[in-house]
Amino acid sequence: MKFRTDKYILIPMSIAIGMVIAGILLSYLMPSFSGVGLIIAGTMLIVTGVYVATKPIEHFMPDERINKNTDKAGYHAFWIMASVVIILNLIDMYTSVSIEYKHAGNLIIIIGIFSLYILRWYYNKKGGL
Amino acid sequence: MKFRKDRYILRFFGMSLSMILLGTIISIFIQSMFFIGGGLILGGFVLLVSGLYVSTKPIEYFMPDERIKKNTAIAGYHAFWLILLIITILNMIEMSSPSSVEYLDASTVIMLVGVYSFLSLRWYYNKKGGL
Repeated sequence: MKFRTDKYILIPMSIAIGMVIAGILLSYLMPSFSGVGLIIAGTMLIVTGVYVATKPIEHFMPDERINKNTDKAGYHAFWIMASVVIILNLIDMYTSVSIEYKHAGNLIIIIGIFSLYILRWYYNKKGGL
Repeated sequence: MKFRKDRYILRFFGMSLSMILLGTIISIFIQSMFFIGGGLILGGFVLLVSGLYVSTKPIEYFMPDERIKKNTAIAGYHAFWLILLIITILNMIEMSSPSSVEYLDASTVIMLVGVYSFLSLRWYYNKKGGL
């Protein structure tokens, strides 16, 4: 197996190793969850970087079809998010349930991001609409 | 000027005329719901005028081609990220400042920004001829 060693691999790898070292130092000096978070995120970046380094750079360049499907998925995710905002608005206005922004904001972001990724995966699998 | 008289136009006109009729009846007989009647009359007139405009054009005029569909998708994709950005900014304001963000106010801002950015981006990309 051949690994790429261009700047697109070396920069993220060094960032990942720096994150792991900073996480270990942070965990020793002031025990908190942020150190563990940095270690986990750094390890994930290293694993991703190793995977990416085994593929040629052309493998990750999106073609016209993938770009089109991403736009389509984003368009539908936009309307899904707008629908969620309206539904939460109606619940807040017409029921006794009071919705707090911090909960609703997180919910909308999670629904939006996941619908974008699921729709993109679906359109790429299906081969467009 | 020639007007189309197919079912798409007739359905449109039927709906707008019945809205005006319903609005007039509500305004005359139920005084407490005067604003709803007024709104229905206004909406009916807007639909009537739009219907008149649409009926003067051939049906092919309103069928989006591949380029317009593509530009709409690109505009929707960018409007999606704009909405996410607005929600994140409001989230940060809620978390790091003493002022509390009310959901009703925030949702109005999100919807206005989202819908208007989508429409403006679509208009811009159609004018520009795509990305």
